[in-house]
Amino acid sequence: MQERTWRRRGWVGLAAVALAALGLAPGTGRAADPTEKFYSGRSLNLVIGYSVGGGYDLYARLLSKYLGDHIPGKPSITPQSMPGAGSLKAVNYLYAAAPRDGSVFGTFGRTMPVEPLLGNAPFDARKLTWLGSITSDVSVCISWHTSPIKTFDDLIGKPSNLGGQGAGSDPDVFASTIKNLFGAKLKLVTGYPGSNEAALAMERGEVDGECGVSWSTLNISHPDWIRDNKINVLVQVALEKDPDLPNVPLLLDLAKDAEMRSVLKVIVANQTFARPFAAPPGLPDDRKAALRTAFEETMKDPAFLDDAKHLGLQVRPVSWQQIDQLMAEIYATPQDLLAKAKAAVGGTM
Amino acid sequence: MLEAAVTALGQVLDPARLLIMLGGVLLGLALGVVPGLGGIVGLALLIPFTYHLDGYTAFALLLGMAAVTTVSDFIPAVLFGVPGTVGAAATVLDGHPLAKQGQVQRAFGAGYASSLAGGVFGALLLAVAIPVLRPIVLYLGSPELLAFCIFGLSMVAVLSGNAPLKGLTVASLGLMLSLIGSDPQTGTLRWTFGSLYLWDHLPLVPVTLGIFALPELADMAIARQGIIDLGARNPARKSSVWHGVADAGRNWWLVLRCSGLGALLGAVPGIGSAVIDWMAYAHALRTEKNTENFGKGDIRGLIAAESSNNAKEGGHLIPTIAFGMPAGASMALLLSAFMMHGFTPGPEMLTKHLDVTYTIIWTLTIAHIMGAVICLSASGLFARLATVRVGVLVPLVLAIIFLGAFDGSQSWGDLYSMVIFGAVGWAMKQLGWPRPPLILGLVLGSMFERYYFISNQIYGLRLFTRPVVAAVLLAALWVILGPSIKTFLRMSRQETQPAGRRRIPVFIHRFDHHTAFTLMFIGIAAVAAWAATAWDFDAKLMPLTACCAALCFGCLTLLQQMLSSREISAGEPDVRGMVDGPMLEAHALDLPGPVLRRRALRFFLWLAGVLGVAALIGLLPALFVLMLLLARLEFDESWRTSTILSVGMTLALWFVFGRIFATPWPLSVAGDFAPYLREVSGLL
Repeated sequence: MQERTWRRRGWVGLAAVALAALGLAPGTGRAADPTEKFYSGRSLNLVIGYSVGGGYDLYARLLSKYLGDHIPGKPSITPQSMPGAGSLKAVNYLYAAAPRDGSVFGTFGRTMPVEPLLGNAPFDARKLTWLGSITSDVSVCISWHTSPIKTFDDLIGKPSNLGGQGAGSDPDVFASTIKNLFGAKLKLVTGYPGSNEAALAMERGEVDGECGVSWSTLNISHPDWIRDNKINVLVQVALEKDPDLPNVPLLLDLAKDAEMRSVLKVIVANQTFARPFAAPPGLPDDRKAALRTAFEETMKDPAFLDDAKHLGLQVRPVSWQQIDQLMAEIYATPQDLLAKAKAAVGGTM
Repeated sequence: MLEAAVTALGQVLDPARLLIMLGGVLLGLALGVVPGLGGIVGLALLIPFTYHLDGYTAFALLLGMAAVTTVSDFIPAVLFGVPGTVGAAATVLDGHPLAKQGQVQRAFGAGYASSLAGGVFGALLLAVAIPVLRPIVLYLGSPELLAFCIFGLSMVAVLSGNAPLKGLTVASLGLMLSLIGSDPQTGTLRWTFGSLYLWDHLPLVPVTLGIFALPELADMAIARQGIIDLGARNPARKSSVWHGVADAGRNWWLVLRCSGLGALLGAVPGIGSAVIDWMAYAHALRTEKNTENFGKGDIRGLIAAESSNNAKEGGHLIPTIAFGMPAGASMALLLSAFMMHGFTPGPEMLTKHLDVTYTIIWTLTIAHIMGAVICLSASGLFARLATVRVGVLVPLVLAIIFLGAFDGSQSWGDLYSMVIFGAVGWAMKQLGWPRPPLILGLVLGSMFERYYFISNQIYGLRLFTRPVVAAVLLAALWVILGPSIKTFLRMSRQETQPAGRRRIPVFIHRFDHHTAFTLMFIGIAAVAAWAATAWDFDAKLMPLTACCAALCFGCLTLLQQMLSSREISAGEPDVRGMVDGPMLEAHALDLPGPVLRRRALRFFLWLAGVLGVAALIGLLPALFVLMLLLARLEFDESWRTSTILSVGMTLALWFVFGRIFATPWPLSVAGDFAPYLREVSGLL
């Protein structure tokens, strides 16, 4: 049976593809085009820069379930974990080592694209073939309801302890930024192994609160905190306000002058592409277009949206055009402002 | 509460769910057997299939799978000395010698019985603790976690056996290893040699496999002898599974204590499975009578390790359910599955969703029973593996652990780590250096550093006024000083008697391989310390402390070796049996020194060769070559046997790791050179 299938694969495959093309897009009359030929029967690798079980992993595995259906030839997609160095390893792989034929793409931390500017990673994120981001996010600073820190002004004026998760993590970056640019009296207590540990430390009163908390994750992991007013949301950090939080100040709006605003913008821009997906640089044009279209279509696929809803994952797609444009803007920031941003985040990001 | 428990039992006993749970249990058992694979990969594999199941069924599948990996991880630990998961390392110490003595069945019986008891105890503790779960977890702050770390590290004193200085040196080196990577305080990259691999700290799986599994395989290869020692002392003595079960029954109090310890420590986030079994082992060593056989095949050592290893699962669930704070990677995955099905861990799990919590408890219990029964009935089959020829066994197991280690973080570094730690571990075993302290240091070191900085910033010296902290620290002090105090008292009582053992006058030894090995450790510590001096104060505080400790203890060890009153040799009788003495003695008797050294060198050259060949033509093809040539050239198997075993195993590995788990194979030169081949085979 197997052998027969192989021998007749050419004919049957061609017929099936032609039928499918006719069935799906009547009128185009297209037989197997080169893109379709390339992807048909192939397995694409989706490289995930984190170990199994985290948010990035969950988003990627969900995408891998549906994206293939929207690529011509309907390839299957295999998620592969490639954890290391906060996903820097995966970005490096995509940027420099992965095949550039459209058979590999990946996801990595949202801070990675600005890492070359604020850290010292040797790549240019503008050159990656951006597919888009499944969602944009807003990161917030919160405090526990029993803490004397109730508002952003309290955070600036009163002494407080904020939990951190290690140099370069979101909580540390945003707490340092507020401390350094706004002269806040907060103290960053860093070293908690993860967001759950930091949240528990806040609940038990060990620290007053925490910055760099993803608002969408908080809605999934602790909806009761929001419902029962267990936390104060002090400030939100992103380029735009979250529709859920009209009354919480946006850090960007609190900037004292235009220069500070530009510095802040470099630091907070990554919230826009919160779940980024990209392929290596220099893909063939037809496959580049096929992957981008497939990503766009998947974001509207009712089955995908249904599953995401089921998993509690937010979907607010950001297109590759938007990411490309934002990258160009950020990478054009003058050196002196970059140096200030670098100093504000505490030297590491 | 009782009502919720009964309702939950009804939910779990639904036949369809039981059947699905059985499927999960079978998969979990299979994953536990393969070193390097475990609950985490299983969960990643299964979670997508649970999207459309109802919550209870999903838990039955996932928990059933995750719970029993710690039941079957014991099989390779006993048979091959290869821990199936990091939690089974302590099992190797007594389980493997038992197998060598031909008592595989007995070891299996005792192991499964204590696994079952431990698993059920853990679930029970979870059930009983429900009303007080949240206050307890809320009470355990960073200072308490710091105290637990120190308590764990104090176990080094017990696990070093009769070589305390060596144990302390090794533990300090373990601490240094744990601090490799990006520092949480300042982001300094410590001792990473510019490689991304070391950024996120040394992964545990390759190190554990290297330190514990490779030396056993090396010894088998060197002795040219399969698992069962043909010259075993009591070849006539038949062992049966029921004999082992009875052993566990006789030691019920030990089972209970170690289960309790496992469950409680399991509830403390950060103290992972890699150290819990050692702590239980140390506990048994310290509290049981007549411990001279520990490490040489004492059934109690095995019972302690296994019961604690299985009880911890229930403990792990406590912070996960009560706070949504997973106490380990597998719990983190489980947590995402909980949320997917609309159950948010937290207070509601103990009130509104109490029946879900009870479902979890019942699932845990039933899965453990299923796992133990399946393993018990299959134990005859597994026991037969113990009689497989060394020429077939060693190549196959080596190939599996290479891939198991690679699954650690899927990078070249994993393979290098395993081989390097394998060589070091083998040398440590030969030269009488205790290995468990290394793992304690490696797991607890970075955790100690984190909680030291947090506690210090928030509480300062006030942290010692917290009652739990004080109590745990006192307990740690007793662990370290207790025996010395006892010995001191006993000696002062005996001083009136004429000294029975007169010390031979001290004389100076010449430089030999013992002192050379010690000097190597000292050298490493010195170079590491020199490299650390340039870092920020916060970044270098712990590394320098660990280096200084390693230097001090290393120099003292050296002094002891050079000035000792009698020759220190590998076969030195060992009071506590922690130095793996007897197994080494067997080799020392069988083989003259040069043969032993030559064969050892050959074995590790084979391993290094695999790395070289893998870099050229890809990992899986290299493992194929290794199996084929090792079986044929090193062990004189026929070409036919060698070919069959290597082809069969390569296909099996390709299917399991490549197809099912989508392992990204490491990039090789051949693949870079001929991208077409890489694309077609997907292996290069």
